[in-house]
Amino acid sequence: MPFAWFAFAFLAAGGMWAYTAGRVRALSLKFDGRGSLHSSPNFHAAFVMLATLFPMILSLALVALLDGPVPQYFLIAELPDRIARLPLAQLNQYVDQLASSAKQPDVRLPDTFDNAARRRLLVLMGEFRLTGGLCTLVAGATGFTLARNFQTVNAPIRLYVERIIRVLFFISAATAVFITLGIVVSLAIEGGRFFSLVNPFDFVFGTTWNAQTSQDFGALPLFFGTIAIALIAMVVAAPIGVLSAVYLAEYAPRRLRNFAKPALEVLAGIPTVVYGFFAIILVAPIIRSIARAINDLSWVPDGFLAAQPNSALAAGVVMGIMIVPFVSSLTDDALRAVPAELRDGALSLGSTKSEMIRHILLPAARPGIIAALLLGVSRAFGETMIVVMAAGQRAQITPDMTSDITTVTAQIVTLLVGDSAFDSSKTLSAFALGGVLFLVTLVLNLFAIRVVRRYGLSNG
Amino acid sequence: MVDQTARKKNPRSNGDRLRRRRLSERFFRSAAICAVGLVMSMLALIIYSVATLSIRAFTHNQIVVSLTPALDSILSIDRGNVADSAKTLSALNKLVADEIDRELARDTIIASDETGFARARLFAPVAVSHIAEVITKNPNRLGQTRSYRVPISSNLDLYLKGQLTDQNIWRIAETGIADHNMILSSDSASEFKISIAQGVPEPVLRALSQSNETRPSVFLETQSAVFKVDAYRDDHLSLRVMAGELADLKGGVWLRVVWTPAAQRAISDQQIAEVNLLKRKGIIRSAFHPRLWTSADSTFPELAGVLSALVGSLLVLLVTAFVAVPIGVMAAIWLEEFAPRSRLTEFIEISINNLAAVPPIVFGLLGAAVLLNVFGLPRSAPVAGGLVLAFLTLPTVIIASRAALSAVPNDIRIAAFSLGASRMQVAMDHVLPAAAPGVITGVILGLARSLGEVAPLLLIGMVIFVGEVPDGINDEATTLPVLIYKWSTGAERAWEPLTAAAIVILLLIMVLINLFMSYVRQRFER
Repeated sequence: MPFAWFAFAFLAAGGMWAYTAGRVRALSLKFDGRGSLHSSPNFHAAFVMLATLFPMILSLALVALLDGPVPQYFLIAELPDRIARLPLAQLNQYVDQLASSAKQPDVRLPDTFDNAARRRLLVLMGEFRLTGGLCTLVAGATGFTLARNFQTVNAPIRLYVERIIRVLFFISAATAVFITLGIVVSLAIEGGRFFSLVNPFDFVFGTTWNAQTSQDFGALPLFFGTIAIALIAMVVAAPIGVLSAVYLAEYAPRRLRNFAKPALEVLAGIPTVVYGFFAIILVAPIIRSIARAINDLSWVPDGFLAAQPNSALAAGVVMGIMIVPFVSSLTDDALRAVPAELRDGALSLGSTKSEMIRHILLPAARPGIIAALLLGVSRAFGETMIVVMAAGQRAQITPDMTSDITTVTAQIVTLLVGDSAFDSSKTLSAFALGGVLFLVTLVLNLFAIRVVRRYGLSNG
Repeated sequence: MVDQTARKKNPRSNGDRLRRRRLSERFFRSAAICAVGLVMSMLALIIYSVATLSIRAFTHNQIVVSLTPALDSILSIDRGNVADSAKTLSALNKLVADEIDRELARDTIIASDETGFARARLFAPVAVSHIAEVITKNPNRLGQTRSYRVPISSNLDLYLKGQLTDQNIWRIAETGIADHNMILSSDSASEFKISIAQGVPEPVLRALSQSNETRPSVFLETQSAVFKVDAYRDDHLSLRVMAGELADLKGGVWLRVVWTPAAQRAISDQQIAEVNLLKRKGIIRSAFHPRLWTSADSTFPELAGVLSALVGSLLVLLVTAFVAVPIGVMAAIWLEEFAPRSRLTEFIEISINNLAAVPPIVFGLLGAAVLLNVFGLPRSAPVAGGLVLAFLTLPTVIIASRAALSAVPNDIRIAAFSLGASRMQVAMDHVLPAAAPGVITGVILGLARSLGEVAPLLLIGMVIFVGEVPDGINDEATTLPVLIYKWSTGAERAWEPLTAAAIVILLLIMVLINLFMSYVRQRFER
């Protein structure tokens, strides 16, 4: 996109020029001898630069946004009646095709008229960009002139600049809200389109999921898989996470702690694909061979366990290992937040260390630990790569955890990889699944955040 | 009180209780130690299993041949440019294949079974493409005889590394062969008989006695030839030439049993025979294989490398940093230094905290729906990927920067205010520099996290085949972790060590980032 580089260079040059000009003007004011400046020359320079850049950025953004529609609008006005009189949908389709073929102007179209129309479209696009560039220039110049008029000895330029920067800071902070809003709106729109095609009741309570080949959108097996794997993960992660936090906080000698804490951080920093690969090459084969050994026992009926190469158990166990450092560090925070008086009091009354921990420390830290576990569950629900790689693709409800099983996240990936058009119910169902996932994790997160905030613990 | 009276009355039960309490203390303590030990051993296990697997990918067996690429054989190389790459490739292929034919004496061997001695493929046709590149860069090599390396196909490499099949080898000294002159059988020039004085090893006989479908392959090898052993009859092994020419029996012979039956392995008997002979002759050598670092992705494991993915990761990281760092730091400054206590502030804080815990894949959905479909960003490109990861990283950056800003002692603020600084001056000139080490650490930590992210990138189409190094943020690209995922799904066994090697590279990069981070931290804190 040379256009983007061009725009960027344009902005940089304009900004630099405005900065220098503003500074020079301020310095000349300063040495004019009409009293001392209210604001330092740097603020003057920043003020002029901001006043110049802001209209330019606005104008460029408009140009980028209207780059497609406006030239197409003018093209439609010029088209002969036989095309312009077409129904709106067909007309739009025709213009869209022209526009996408305009990206490779060297490839000739079969129809001569289409070729001419495309040439005209390219000319119109060029004209629009030229006009846009000129408008940007004018906007920048206007901002520049206005700002220069403000530059006097007594003008409170610093206050203006600070106010502008403050607004920028606020907008940055509000970005998080915009992103959340973007997620909610896009999931709601695409999910809504899905539910206009598929009955929501069938989606939530249907027991057959076969989105790839037929149109069965019963998501219950996916919910089952997600919950089952999360449960296995938490069975692994909860005791290990909490106990290791307790050990490191209360028992461990200093040297061990200095070694173990960074090791936990390393474990937390390992990307989830690595865990997925670990599950494939080591954990899944081990679980499979254990399941086969159980099947071979004389008193176990034949084929009692499925013993698949991909299994819910493998994904769940590895996911549990992944969540351990997360639970452990949050539990550590919660333990730290317990006042030392409680600890000392219990010990001075003669309780052993483990009694103190079990009867005083853990109950006092309970809200924090519960929040840690909730956040752990939320992560387990949303974890994708481990289940994509190690859990399998079969949507089924089965009590046998050595069989392959699929989850909401794994299905989202399978549905959307290699697909960009969102018109089939197949791709739209991914958004419905994503909406469910978002809602569930939202509830868990909000609850956990409330607990964490109420008890004054650090942020998760 | 009750306890005390009980203690006085019954000292024995008191001792019991104490013992029980101590026991439970010990039990609890050992459970906690076990938990920590389990975590540590898991970490060690992950690193160990990946590292040992990856070692195999760093060396590769290569055919070392001396070639004389002349102008007429590579006609299409013209003044430093490959005019017709297909023609060049086939010419080079023929050169290498001819060389191997000569070493294996393929043309002197007469077809003796119905399949004939079809040239067994030892390397992928595109494996010679780097020779074309080298010659294109140095045209003066045309006509010179130099030694070139061609990586053999990945399955054969795995076989030579002992990963693909079970096999045993017995060496039999020259003196152990009863009849020094192998008896040429009358009916064919390619069938021989040999008898071994000390007796054929028992496992070899066992292998030869099995029925056809499950029968292991038995080879008899000399310094210059490889035979297949068909049967054991009348104290003789009946042999069939597979590769090479029989010179003499100096140095003895080897009996090799490949236990995995031909139907259950990816390589044929012919390939095994030829590869073993070339290895014995020193034509095939195991050597460090730099392709992992220097080449882009390929459909052949022996040619695939991480270079394009590394560049892709870098481009994505640049976009992410360019968006997430300024916005994140500015947001943190506003929240810590300017935000009024209001509903709005609280709402923003909650949405940031919530965003930090939204599953990454949901950000992928956002990217697919909004960035690709509404704003029309190119699919599979680092712009889209970087933006999605920026959304994902933003909360982490904000939370870490806020923690660093709030750790700045209030005295600094008060002192600056008392000297007449404005709020903005306090924040930008005094608090931010004091918090810089923390902010930088947080930012790098967030970026390092985003470096390992895969799930959202899958949804915006970054799991594609990228055969060339991307040259811009709008070009099709993939990232290192996505490549790891892609390779881990590869059907061939050879992808496994390669995936592990890519993981090692990724982890090394992360370690480097962490080291850099602690360096920055120390420097600033001094």
